Amino acid sequence: MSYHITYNDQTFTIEENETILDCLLRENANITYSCKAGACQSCMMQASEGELPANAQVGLKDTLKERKFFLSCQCIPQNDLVIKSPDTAGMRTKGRLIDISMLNHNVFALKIKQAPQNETQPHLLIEPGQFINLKNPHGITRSYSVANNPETDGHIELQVRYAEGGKMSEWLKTNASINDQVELQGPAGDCFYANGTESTASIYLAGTNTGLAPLYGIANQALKKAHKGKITLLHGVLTKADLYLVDELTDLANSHDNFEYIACVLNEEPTPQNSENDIQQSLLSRLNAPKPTDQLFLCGAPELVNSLKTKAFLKGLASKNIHSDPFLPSNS
Amino acid sequence: MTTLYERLGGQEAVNTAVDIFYRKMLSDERVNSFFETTDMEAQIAKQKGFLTMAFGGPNNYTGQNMREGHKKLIEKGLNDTHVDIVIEHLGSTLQELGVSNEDIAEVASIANSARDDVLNR
Repeated sequence: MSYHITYNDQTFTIEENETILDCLLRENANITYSCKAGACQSCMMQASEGELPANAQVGLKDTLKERKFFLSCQCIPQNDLVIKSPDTAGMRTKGRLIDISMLNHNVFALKIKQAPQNETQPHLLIEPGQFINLKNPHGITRSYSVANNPETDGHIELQVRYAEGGKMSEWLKTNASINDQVELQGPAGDCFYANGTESTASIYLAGTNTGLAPLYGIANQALKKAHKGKITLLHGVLTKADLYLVDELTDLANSHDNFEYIACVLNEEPTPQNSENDIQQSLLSRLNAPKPTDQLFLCGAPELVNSLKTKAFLKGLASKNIHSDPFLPSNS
Repeated sequence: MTTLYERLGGQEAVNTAVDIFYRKMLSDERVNSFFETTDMEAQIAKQKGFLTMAFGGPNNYTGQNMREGHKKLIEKGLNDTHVDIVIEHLGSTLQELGVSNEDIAEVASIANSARDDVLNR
């Protein structure tokens, strides 16, 4: 019995005991690969249809496994598969702005409704915390993390920090209005609550400024899935005025014993409401003797994200359980 | 007759060993400055490739890519002492995982065989 794979719209027949990578190389497809041993992960692909053999996903993060990423050099198909290279992952659809409001002095909250779906243009299936590209009516595209569960809420919520002179920022401040048409592409990113997460694992969520958006989405999703382990959310900002969603997060902490919210305001004296200053210290002081299943999500300023990644790893957190989205500033 | 790679536990062993090994490297002040600016995720992937090779697993490491990959580090002062430290941490990682001394010696000798390429000699 031989199986077929469809790769970027071309169909190939797998020979007996042949891996997907070997099949594609035999067919002269241009594929990036290196070790052919399941180690370097450079031949990673994503399946859109068909079951993957378990060994094709060994060593991958749970968040990648759930999105059906796999290592083509380890994958001997046991059924037909439709696959693509990961850089073409994500789809496009249209949407319209249904609400714009301010969460504090400089963070916009946008609500976007996806256009009614049809066969050629299904809704983007987004996990809370993943990011999408938003293209405004003037053709400006930026990436933003999703702060809610679009599937249950029926719309997508994004948080955009106002940057003076920024093209998207100025559009939101002066021109944007309800019902404006936008384009959406995605989703991408592995910052989300994986269904395979061990329910007793501790989850640490640390982010600066609008890095809160994905973390808020992940925290709500984990609580909705009745996560039992401790969930700690740390929000780092410069001044008290930069905090937002304080009431919502405080309510969440009051109604869930396993949820803790810590506002870290760098430039202010600690008060009972924001008892800590430095988000790095606050996070690291809590990461003592982590369990092998504990998860860390980091979002925000790239220097902070990169430095905390390494420090958390040295504290003993498993590298595959450290998820991050550095927020890169746009050049224009 | 099982191969070294099979005895060590194959790819699962690499995935387990990589965190222990890389944590040792990053905690060691004699070598951690070489990793200062590198992205952790990219490094973990590279270290997995290295461990797969050292464990006698399937790989396509070539002298050429070893030389290319370490060129910048040699400019920063990479020398024999640092290679010794890598082999030392590799050994203590495997010891923690309960690997026999004979197998550790075999891993060390495979890793050592890359020394001249790594140091561009």
